[in-house]
Amino acid sequence: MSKVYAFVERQINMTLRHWHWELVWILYQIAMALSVGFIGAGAAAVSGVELDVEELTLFLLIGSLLWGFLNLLLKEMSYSIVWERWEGTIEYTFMAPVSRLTHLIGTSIAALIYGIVRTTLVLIAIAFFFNINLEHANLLGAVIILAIAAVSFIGIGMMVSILPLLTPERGEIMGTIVQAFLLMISGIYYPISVLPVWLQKIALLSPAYYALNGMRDALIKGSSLFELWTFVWPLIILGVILIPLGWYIFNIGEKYSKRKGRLKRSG
Amino acid sequence: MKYALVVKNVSKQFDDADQKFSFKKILNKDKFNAVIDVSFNIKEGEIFGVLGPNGCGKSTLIRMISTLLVPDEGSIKIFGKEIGKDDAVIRNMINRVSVEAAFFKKLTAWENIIYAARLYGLSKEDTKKKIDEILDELNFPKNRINLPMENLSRGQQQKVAIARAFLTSPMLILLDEPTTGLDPKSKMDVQKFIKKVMKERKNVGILLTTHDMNEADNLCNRISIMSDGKIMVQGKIEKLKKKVHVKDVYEIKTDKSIMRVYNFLSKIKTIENVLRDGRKIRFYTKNINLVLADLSKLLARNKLKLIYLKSVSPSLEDVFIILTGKSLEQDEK
Ligand SMILES: Nc1ncnc2c1ncn2[C@@H]1O[C@H](COP(=O)(O)OP(=O)(O)OP(=O)(O)O)[C@@H](O)[C@H]1O
Ligand SMILES: [Mg+2]
Repeated sequence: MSKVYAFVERQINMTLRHWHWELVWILYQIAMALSVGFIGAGAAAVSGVELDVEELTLFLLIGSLLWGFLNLLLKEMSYSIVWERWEGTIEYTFMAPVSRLTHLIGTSIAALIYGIVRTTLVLIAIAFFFNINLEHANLLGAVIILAIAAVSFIGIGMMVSILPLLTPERGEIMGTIVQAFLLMISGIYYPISVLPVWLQKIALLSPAYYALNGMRDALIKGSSLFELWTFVWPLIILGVILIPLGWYIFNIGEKYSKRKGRLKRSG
Repeated sequence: MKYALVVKNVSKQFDDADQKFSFKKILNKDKFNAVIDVSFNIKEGEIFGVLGPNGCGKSTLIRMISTLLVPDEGSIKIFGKEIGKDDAVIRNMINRVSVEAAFFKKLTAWENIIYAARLYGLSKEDTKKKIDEILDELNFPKNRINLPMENLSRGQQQKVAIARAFLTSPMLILLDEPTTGLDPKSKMDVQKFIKKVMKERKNVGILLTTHDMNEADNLCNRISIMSDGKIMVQGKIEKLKKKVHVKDVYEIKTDKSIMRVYNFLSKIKTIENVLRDGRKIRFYTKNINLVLADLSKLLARNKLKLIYLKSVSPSLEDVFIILTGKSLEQDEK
């Protein structure tokens, strides 16, 4: 337990030391979320067609916020290893008596806390700009969906995080590619029905797809937990597959890099 | 007798690190032998030195012992536990100091220490107490512990690294050039600290690499000298010094124009490694008689007075130079 806390504490210390940068990032994230939110009103103005602006705005905002959160998780997870290699501490973390599972759980919890705090701050800021009506929303359902989706993203994060160790230097770009791909297929800013059919099929494998639709149903339509089950079970299955898979791939990657001597930066 | 470390026939190859595309490389991968068939052991209570020029494979060897690099061949046992099989147990028994400061540079010294300590299951209170003691002995200024690592001097960072390694009471301590970059006083502090730990904790073993021959002479019971991945010799320092006597070491001093003598000696084929040290010159030759006649001619011609020409007992540095064919000074440049 104290070993898990080591990773969380380290992350908190790091974030607090960089607080001014964190603020800048949050401002950036707020600006991004707002501009996506305004697309709703903009769509009506540009097309001249009568639209339910409020619902469209909510649709977009949920996409933007949820993507912001999941993306943050993925990024925090996948950069954790590159960052440590860059600092040169990776060898010390890897030679410490910590099982890889503890290590990854610690990193995930740190990423979760960070993601939740940041997304909440963005959410509060956005509430000032948009008149969001959540009277009918099933908030509990939304939180449950979010929590289960987070598990899958942590699994993907584990997989992506080890990739930089396989090829020296440029490996971190892999995280960005995975992000871009998930963004495209998951229907963050549009329903996936606009995609070509074959991409729609691939979308069914993305946890973000279920998370988004579940959240939208819960928050816009106020669907009950029972109705949300269609999104919950695929998410559970994806989580159950992705976490062990992420851990497994991480282990393979670690073994490979220990054979090839890819942990060190210098010296 | 228990062994802290037994290294047996360990070898490691690396792929050519240059990843630039070429068909030749795809067809025929160049391999580089970083460590070749290395064997040695460290007894409990012993400080074992590994010396050798840059790039001879010392750090690679230490990485393999730290479970960070998998050997291609051979076996490594730490207190009877084998690397590759009992890594989880082994990791509790070892710690390491590397040349480069491996820290989260934005975090303070204390934040780095507590992170490491928690990974080894130490509590905050224990860590505080112990780290205070260690840093005291290393003469690390206490008020610096709450500064970000990047604001500490190179030497201060190195002291924090040493404290971090000893904090977890490892049974096998791997010190990869722990005093490189330290001023003479700090070097002494660190050496004193290492000696003290060895006195207090009789069953630990230390593997030390260094480019400082005096340090090796001062700290190590036994050493091995590596060159190009292979161990050239190993054993007690005294014994190694005796081995070298076949090639004698001489020292010469004249009243003036020492550079003339230097240039003269440098040109002679039977003389090796002519080194100037102030007004003295050191050199190696198997047969001094071959040069005496020419040397006295040179002295007479230039009206130089010979103050002395004598054979001297070889230092550890001489052993090193003769066995690896490389001088340390050349190395450090
Ligand atoms: N991960 C790696 N990948 C490829 N080559 C490597 C790797 N690590 C070390 N080498 C090569 O292996 C050789 C030995 O390196 P090593 O770091 O062990 O030397 P060293 O004896 O510690 O030198 P120094 O005194 O400079 O610290 C070097 O030629 C180095 O380029
Ligand atoms: Mg080295």
